[in-house]
Amino acid sequence: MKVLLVVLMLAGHAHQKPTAPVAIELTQRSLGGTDYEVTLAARPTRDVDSLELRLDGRIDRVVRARANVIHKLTVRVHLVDASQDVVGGATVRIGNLRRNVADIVTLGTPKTRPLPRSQIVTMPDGTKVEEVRP
Amino acid sequence: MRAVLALSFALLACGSEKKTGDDDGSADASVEADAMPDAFVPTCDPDADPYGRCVGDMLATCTAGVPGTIDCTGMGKVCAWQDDTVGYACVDLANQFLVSGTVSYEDKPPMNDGSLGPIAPHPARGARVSVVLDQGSTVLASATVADDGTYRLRYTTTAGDMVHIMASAQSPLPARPVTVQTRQKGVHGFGGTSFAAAAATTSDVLVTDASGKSEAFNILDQLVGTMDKIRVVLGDATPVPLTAQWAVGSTDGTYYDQGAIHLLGQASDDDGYDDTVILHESGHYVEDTQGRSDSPGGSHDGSPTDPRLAWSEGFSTYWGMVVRGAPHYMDSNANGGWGYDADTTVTAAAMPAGTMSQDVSEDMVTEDLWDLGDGKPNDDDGVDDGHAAVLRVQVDYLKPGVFRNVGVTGVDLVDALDGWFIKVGLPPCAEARGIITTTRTFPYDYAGPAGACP
Repeated sequence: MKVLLVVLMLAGHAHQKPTAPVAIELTQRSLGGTDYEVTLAARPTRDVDSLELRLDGRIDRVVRARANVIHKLTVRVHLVDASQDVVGGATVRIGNLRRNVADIVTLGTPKTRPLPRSQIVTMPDGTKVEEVRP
Repeated sequence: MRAVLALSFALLACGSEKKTGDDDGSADASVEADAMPDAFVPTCDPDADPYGRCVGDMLATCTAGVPGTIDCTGMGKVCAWQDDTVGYACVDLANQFLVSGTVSYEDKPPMNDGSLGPIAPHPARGARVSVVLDQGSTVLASATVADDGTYRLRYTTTAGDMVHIMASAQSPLPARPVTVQTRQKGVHGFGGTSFAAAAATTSDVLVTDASGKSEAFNILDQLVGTMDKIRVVLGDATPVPLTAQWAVGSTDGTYYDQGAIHLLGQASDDDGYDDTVILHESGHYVEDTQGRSDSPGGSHDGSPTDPRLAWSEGFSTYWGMVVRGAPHYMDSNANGGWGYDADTTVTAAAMPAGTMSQDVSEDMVTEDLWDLGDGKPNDDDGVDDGHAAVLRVQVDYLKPGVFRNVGVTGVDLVDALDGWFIKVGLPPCAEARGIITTTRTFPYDYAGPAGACP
C-alpha cells in the first residue's frame, strides 16, 4: 500500500518545472534570547564549475564543486522584531548554464499575514468564485 | 464606407501587410481608404479577441486575420456582450442597463535574468466579468473581457440597486477553456467598488497585487495565450479544458498532471508571475492533448538525461517561448531567480560520436527547436511558418505515433526531427545539419522517413 502511494505521488508529479542541479537545506538553531544561528547546506547533484551560497546577505563561492559534496554557510542573526525571514539560496554554473534555488526560514514567532477576506459568489452554472473586494 | 475603413485601422490596432516599399514598415492609420494603394492589405492578429470587442458602439472583429467593424448605432443598437456563443455584437438594449469599463491586473513582468520587474497594469484578457447584486451576491449578467481589457455588459435590475463588477480568473468559452482555482477548488475572483444601477455606467476594475489575486489573472493570461496558439497554429478550435491551481502560500510544487497545472505560491518560490514557468507547464498540456509524450517524468535540471524526458521538457520550454514570441525562460525566486536564452546559448551533446539514443539535455532540445523555427530555412515565400512547422510535428507526426526504429523507444528529439523533415522536406538539410550537428554535436542521421539528406 505504501509503495502504491509513493508510485501514485510520483506519477502525480510527472512533469515538474526545470530546477537547478543543487539541493539546499536551511536550518535554524536558537542561541538563546533573540539570537539565532542559521545554516545553509548546499549539495550539487553533479559536478559544477562553480557553486555560490547566499545567506542573509553573505556570499560564499566555491570553484569546481563536486557532486554530492555538501558545502555550508552559517550566519548569526540577532532579532530586532518579533520575527524575521532569512533567505538562503544556491546558484550553480556549468559552462553557460546558470540556475539557482532558494528557501526561507522564519526566525522567532512567525507573523500571520492576514489574507483579504473573501466571499463565495455562485455563478449561474454553479461555479463557486472566491471573491476578494478592496 | 471610407470613414468605417479608416476607423477600423484605428480601432483594431491593425497591422498592414505592405507589398510595396516602405522604409520603416509602418502603416499610417489616418490614411483615408481612397488614398491607400491597392497593395495595402489590412490585417489583424488572428489570435486576438475570438469573441470580438466593442469600441464604444463600434463592434470590432478579426476573422482569419481580416479586420471588420460595424457601427451599431446605425442599426439603432448598442455594442455589448450578446451571449457565450456569439460574444460581442450589436444588440438591443431594450429596458436593460449598460455598464462598461476595463478590467486589468497588476502584473510583475519577468526580466530576462529571472527577476521580476516593477508592478505594471495589464489587461485581464479573457477573464470573466460579471455584474453582481451587492445584496445576496446574485450574478445578474456575465461577459468576457476583451483582449484590450475592455468590456460592455447589459444587465437587468431595479434602478438604484447597488451592484458591483466582479472579475473571475476563468474563461469558460470553448475557444479558451481555462480556469484558475484556489486550493479549495473555487475560482479566484476580485470585486470592484459598488455603484447604483443606472442606464449607463462606467466601472473600471484593477486587481491589485495586495489582494493576492493578481497572479491568478496573470496565470489566466498566459494560458489564454496557449489556447490561442493551439487554436491558430495547431488548428483545434475547441481545446480540451485546462485547470490551473495556485494560491498564496501553496507548497504543492509546480507541475502538470492530467489536465491540471499546479503552481507554487510560497514566499521562497512563487510562480504566479513567472510567465515562462506557467507556459512551460502548459507545453506539457499541449503534448498531452494535442500530441504525444512518453516521458518517464521526474526531476530535470538541464543535465543530460533520458532522451524522452529531455524531449518532453525541451519541447515544453520551447512552446512557452513561441507563445511569448521570445527565446527566454525565466524562473524567479527569493534568491533572484535565473534566466536562460535559447537563441544565444549553445548546449552540445556529450558524445558527438555516440548514438542517437544517448542522454541529452533538455536545453539542447529547446535550442534546436528554436533555431529550426526561428531560422525559417525553408521560408522562401515570406510566410512566417517556421515555428508553426515545428509545433505541428506534435499533431501531424508524433500523435499518430508511427516511428522508425532508431533512438530510444518512445518520442524523443530524433522522432521529432524525422517529423519536421516530413513537414518541410529536404531543402533545409544543410541549415538543419548546421544547427543540430555542427553547432550542438548531436549525431542525428538525417535519414528519416522523409528521405536521406544529401
